[in-house]
Amino acid sequence: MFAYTVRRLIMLIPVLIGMSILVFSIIHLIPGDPAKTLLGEKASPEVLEKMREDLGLNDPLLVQYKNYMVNLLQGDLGTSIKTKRSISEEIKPYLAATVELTFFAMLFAVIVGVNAGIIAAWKQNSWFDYIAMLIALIGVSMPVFWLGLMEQYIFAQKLQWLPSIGRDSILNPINSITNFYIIDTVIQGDFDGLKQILKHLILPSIALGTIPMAIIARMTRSSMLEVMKADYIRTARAKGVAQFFLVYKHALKNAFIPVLTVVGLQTGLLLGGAVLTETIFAWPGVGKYLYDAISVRDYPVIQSGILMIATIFVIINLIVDLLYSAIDPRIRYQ
Amino acid sequence: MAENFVLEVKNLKTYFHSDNGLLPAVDDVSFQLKPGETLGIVGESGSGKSVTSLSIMGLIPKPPGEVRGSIIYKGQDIVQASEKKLREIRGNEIAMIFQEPMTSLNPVFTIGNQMIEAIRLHTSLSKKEAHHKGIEMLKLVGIPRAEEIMGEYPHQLSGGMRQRVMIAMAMSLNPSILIADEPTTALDVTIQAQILDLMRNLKKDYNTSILLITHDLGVVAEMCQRVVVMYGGKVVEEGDVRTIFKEPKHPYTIGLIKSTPKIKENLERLYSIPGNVPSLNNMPKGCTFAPRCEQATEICRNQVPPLFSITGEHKSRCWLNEKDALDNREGA
Repeated sequence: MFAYTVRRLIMLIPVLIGMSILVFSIIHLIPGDPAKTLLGEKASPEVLEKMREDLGLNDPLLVQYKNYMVNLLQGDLGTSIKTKRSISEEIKPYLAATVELTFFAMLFAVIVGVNAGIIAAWKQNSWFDYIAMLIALIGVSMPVFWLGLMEQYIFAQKLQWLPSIGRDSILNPINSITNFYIIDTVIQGDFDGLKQILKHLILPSIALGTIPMAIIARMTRSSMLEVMKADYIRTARAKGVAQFFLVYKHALKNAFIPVLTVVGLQTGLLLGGAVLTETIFAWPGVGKYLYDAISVRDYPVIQSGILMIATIFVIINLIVDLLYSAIDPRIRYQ
Repeated sequence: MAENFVLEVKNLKTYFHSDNGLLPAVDDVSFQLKPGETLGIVGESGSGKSVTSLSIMGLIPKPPGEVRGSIIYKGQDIVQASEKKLREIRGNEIAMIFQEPMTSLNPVFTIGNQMIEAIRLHTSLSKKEAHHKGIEMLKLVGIPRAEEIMGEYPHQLSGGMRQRVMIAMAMSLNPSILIADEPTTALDVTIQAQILDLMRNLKKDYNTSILLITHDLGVVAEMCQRVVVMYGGKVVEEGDVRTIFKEPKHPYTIGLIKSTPKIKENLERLYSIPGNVPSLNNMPKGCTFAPRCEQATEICRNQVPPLFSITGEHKSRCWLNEKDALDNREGA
C-alpha cells in the first residue's frame, strides 16, 4: 500500500509536466494581445512593443515555457499582468475561500445524498423513494444560479435568517491568519465570528451542493439496490442481523465504491471554482478570480489557475483510488 | 401423533404477487423434521425447494411474497412470528448455508468479523471470547491456520474453504436445525465429499437436524434418512430413503432415479425426462407433472391427485398409485 502510494506520486510528475505543456500551449494559441488589453486600444505601437518585451511575450514559446517552469518549480507562479502582484501570494485567500465552500457543499451533498439514496433503496417504491428521487431529479436539472437567487430571496430577503453575500460580515470582518476563516476564528477563540462564518456558508453551500447531492443520491440508491440483492446480504439476514445493520453495515460498504467515484469527481469540479455560485453570492473564490483574469487576458494567472485546478483533480483522483482499496480489499495494487 | 418433531411444516403456501397474478411457488407443502434426522428435499430448479427453505427462515420478501399455512418450531408457529422473534431464531436456532460459497460471504469484511458478528448477535460473549470461539469453530470444520484465516478476506479462500467457513458460522451457535440449500452444488467433486463428511460428523456431534435441499440424488443417498420429492411447488413423493430408491412410485421420482448415472450399467445415453418444469404462471390444470409424464391419462390432465399413502411413511401424489393405496387400506 505504501509502495503503491509512493509510485503513484512519482507517476504524477509526467502527468503534471504534460498538463503544464498543454495549458501553456492552449493559452498562447488563444487570439488576443495581453499588452493591448493592459494598455488599451489607443496605446502607441512603441509602448505596446515595450510592454511585450517586458512581459517576455516576444521570446520564443520554448523560452517562455522554460522560464515559466523554472519559476514554477520554485513555487513562483509568476506575476499577474493586471495587479503586478505575485500570483502565488494573491491566489491564497481565493483558494482558501473555495476550499472552505467546497468542503461544506460536499459535506451537505454527501450526508444528505448518501442517506437519501440509502433510505430510498431500503424503502424502494415507497413515497419516500418517489419524493427523494423527484427531488434528486429537480436537483440535477435546476440551474444553480436560479437556486442561489431563490435562496437569497427567501432566506435572506424575506425571512432575513441568513446573510446573502460574502464570506464574513462587512461590519465585523475576520482577522485572518490562515485565510481559512473557520480555522482562524477557532484558533482565536472568536466564536461569534465562527457563527457568522458558518451562517455565511449555509446558502452558498446548499446552492453549490445540490447538484452533487442529487447525483450522489441517485448513485447511492441504484448501487444499494444492486447490493441488497447479493447472496451475502441473504447470508447476513439468515444470521439474524437486523435490517438497519444489514443496510448500513453490510450493504453500504459494498455499495460505496461507485458513490466514492462520484464524490471525488464532484469535489474536483467544485474546487475548480464555481463561477456562477461565487458570482451570485459574491464569494471571493478561485472561480471568480479566474473569471476576472480571463476577461483581461491575464495569461500568467489563467495558466496558474488552470494548472492548479488540473493538479487538484489529479490529486483527488489519486486519493479516491487509494480509498478504493481501503474499502474493498479485493482492490489491491501490486 | 405422539411423535416429537423439531420442525413441522403444515400446508405451507408461498405465493408471489406479480403482474401475471398470484404465482404459487410453494403450493400446500407439509413435512416433518425429526430430531437428529437428515431430511432431503429433492427437485429440479423451479420446484419450490429453495422457496420452502427461505419460507422457514422467514426470508421471503413481503411483498411481493406471501406465506400461508404454518411452520411449527418448538411448538410455536413462526409464520406469524414478529420480525424480532424471527431474528432471534435465525442463525441461533435455525441456521442456513447456501449454494454459492463464492458469493455468500461479504467480500469487504474479514472472516473473523463475520464469524464474530454471528456469534455475538445471539450470545453475550465479549469480542475476545467470540474471537476464540470463532477460531475453535474454524478448527472444528478442518480449516488450517484458523488464527490467520480470521484476519483474511473471503476472496483469499477457495470455494471449499468458504463453504467450511459458512458451516462453521452456521454451527457456531449450535442450532437445532441446519438448512443446507445445495451446499455442494458449486464445489468440485472431491470437495463435495469432504463437505458432506463434515456435515455428517457435525450432525452426529451436535445432534442437529438437517434439512438438505438438493437436486443431486447421490447426495441424498449418502446423507439422508428420509426424502421429500418436490415438483411444481408440490410434494409428489415422500418416504424413507431406501424405499424411495428401491420402489419409487411417482413417475417423476422414477424418472429422476433413471436419469442418474450408475456404475454398474453401461448405457450409451442417459435417460432424461422430456420437457421442462412448468412455469409458475402457466401451471397445468391437473397433475403438474402430467405434460411430461409418459403414463399420463385423462384424469391426470384434469384433476390434481392427492398424496396417496402407500406404506407407512411412503406417500405418492400420482393417480397410478390410487390402487396401491386402496389395496393398502383394504389390507390394513
